[in-house]
Amino acid sequence: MQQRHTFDVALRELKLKLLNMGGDVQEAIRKAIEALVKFDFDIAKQVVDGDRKVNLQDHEIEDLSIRLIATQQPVAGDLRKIVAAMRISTDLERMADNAVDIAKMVLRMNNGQALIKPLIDIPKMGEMVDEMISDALNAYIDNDAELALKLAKSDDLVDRLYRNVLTELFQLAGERPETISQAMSLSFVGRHLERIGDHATNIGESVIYIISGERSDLN
Amino acid sequence: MGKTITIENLQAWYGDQLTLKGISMHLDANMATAIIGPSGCGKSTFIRCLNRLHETAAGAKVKGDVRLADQDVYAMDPVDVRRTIGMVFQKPNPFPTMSIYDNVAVGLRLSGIRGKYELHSRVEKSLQMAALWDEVKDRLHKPAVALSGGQQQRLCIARALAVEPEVLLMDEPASALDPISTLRVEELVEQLKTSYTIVIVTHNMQQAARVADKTAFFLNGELVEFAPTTTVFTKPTDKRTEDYITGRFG
Repeated sequence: MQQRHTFDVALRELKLKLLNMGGDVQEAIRKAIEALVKFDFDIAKQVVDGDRKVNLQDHEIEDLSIRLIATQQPVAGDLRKIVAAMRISTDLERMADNAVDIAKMVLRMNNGQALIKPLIDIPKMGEMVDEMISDALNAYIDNDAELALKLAKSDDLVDRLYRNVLTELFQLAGERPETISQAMSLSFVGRHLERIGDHATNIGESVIYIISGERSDLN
Repeated sequence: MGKTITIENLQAWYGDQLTLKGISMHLDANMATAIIGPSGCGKSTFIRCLNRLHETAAGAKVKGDVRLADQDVYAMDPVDVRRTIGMVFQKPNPFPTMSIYDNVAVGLRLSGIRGKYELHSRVEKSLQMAALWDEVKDRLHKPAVALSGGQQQRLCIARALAVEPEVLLMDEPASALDPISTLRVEELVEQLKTSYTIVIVTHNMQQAARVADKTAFFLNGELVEFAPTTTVFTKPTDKRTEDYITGRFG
């Protein structure tokens, strides 16, 4: 017997809002990396401007969650879904901020200097975190704890690649002092991507919390 | 101080109908335990078995053990049981012809306390414990029925406390009260559990979540889950508990 139709509809709405937000955040990260690889400042500006929409989505999810807590007195699994939705929304919003930081970095690199090296590992990191976000969102949709746990391994790979990026850039900057400024910018890009990976694992932790009520540490 | 209650394989019948199907629980002293469950699940029958009120109904029968600390409740004098295990009902039921004072004093007089000073000090203490003294101290000899519903319920709590019980059973004590009176009763439970063991039956899940240290979920005369309240309301282990408390059935 279905007794909480309105509440269940609202919970589905919450989920849908998160998935839409997740899609927009993934798009922002992809564009930020595209802007960097192509050195395309228009795309970088689009990412910066698009952040307002993501912030608005975060507020909408928070407002809906607060309204549901205030009016529906959720408990048990329902309560965990709502609390986790707020956390996931915050993680997605921070990822979008990281995308904006990458885009701003690209805009600051608009000083006539060409790329100091072909970009291979950074776009690779971008692809890896993009896949992590997809996995995190799929784990959320399907209540898939196994997929959520897999994020810990993916995060380790991203971290390893980030360390490689840093080593390579430091070496380059040491050999060619004129590249220091761009090498630092690129290492910050790597740092932002590494942080995005951390936020994706946080989403995995929220998924495990929804499923089991247990806290986990995937970072 | 409150005492523990240990229940072993408690079964209760109304005529041929088995209402409680073998309940075993240990209720900690000086803690509030909430009993929740849909109508007809046996929760009221359960607490009525604890103070032997169930057996007063026509055709009612009880089997199993109820122990108050190390005493067998079913080997005690029923009058002593009901003095030691007090009860507050859903609807405030002060004696309508008596004053506020006499409503509290009546149990004391029946138990042989006659001294005016002792009577007065026990009435005052009970009304203070029930958080009612300040509101009624200037009109103790006015009729109890002149009080508001919430005040009448606290008067009934004071009446139960006057005979110095060790356990207080509350059968939906706030379901007939307005929200403010409900909160006052809940605050009272919070204070009283330092001195008494409290068992509260409630239909209001949020009330159970607010006042109880442990919560038991009953369904069809069986105990489905009994755990710390936080656990029951955040991650219950049984799907039936989850479905009930999230409003999916019941």
